[in-house]
Amino acid sequence: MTSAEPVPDLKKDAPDQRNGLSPDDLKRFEEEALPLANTLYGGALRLTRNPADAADLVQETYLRAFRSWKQFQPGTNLKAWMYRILTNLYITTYRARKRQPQMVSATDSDDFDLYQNLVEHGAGAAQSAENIVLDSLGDDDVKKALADLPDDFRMVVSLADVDGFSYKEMADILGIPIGTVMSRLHRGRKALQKSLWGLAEDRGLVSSQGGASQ
Amino acid sequence: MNDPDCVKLVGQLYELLDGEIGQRQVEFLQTHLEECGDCLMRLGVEAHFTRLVRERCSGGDCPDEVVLRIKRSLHAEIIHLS
Repeated sequence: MTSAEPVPDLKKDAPDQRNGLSPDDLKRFEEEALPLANTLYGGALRLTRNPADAADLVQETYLRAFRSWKQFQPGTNLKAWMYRILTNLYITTYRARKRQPQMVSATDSDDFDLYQNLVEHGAGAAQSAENIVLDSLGDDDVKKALADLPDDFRMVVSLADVDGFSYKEMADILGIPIGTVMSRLHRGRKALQKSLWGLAEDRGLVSSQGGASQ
Repeated sequence: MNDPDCVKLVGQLYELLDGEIGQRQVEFLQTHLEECGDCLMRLGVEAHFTRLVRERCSGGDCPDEVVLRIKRSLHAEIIHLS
C-alpha cells in the first residue's frame, strides 16, 4: 500500500468506517445543519462575490463539517462552527487562489464621519436619523459597495452587520484577537460609509459642495 | 465635539451599538446620551446605517440545486465509508 491516506482508525464495531460516521449521524447532521444552507450560502456569496464559487464553497463546507461532525460539541453554536469552517476554506483556498489584496494600510476613510457629513449637508439634522440620504441608494449599490471592500474588512462587516455575530464569535471564526476584530469592523464600516457617501454624491443625492440637494 | 464625554462616547460608539460594552460603561454613556442630543443623533445614524447594511445585503437563498448537490455529496460519504 502506497496510499497517502492516513492509516484508518478502525473500530471493532464498525470495521469499515474510517471516521465512525453512521447513517444516523448523517440524518442528525442534515437535520441540524441543512437549515443553515441559506445563511451559509449568503455568507459565501458575500465572500466569493460569485454564485458558482459560493455554491462550491458551501458544498465543501458541508462536506468538511460532516467529516468533523464528531468534534462538534452539541449545544454550542452550530452556525458559528460552520462559519468557521467556511471562512477557513475561503481564506486557504479561494482567496489564496485569487491573490486579492487582503488588507489595506491606514486609509483616508478611517476618519470618515457619516454623521458630520449628514449635518454639513443638512441631511442629518433636518431629516431624522431614520431617513438618512443613503436610504435612497438601491440594494445593489450597497451590495456592490460591500463587495468592493478589501477582503478583511468585508469579512468582519458581513459577519457583524449581516450575520449578527458577536466580537467573540467573529474572533473565533476568523482566528484573530478581539481587538483586531474591533479595529477591522471600525475601519470597514467607515470605508463602506465613505464609499456609499461618494456614490450618493455622484448621483447628486447630496451636493459635493455642501448643502442638501433634493 | 470638544466635550470629553462626547469624545469618550465616539470612541466607544460601535461597542455600545454592538452591545459589547460593560454595564457600568453603558450607564455612563446612557447618562451622557440623555444630555447630549448631538451624540444621540450620531448613535441613531450609526444604528440606522448598520440596519441598512443588514437589510440590503442579506438574502441570497441557497439554490435548490446546490442543496441537492450538498445532500448527494454527504450521502456519498456514508456509502464511501461503509
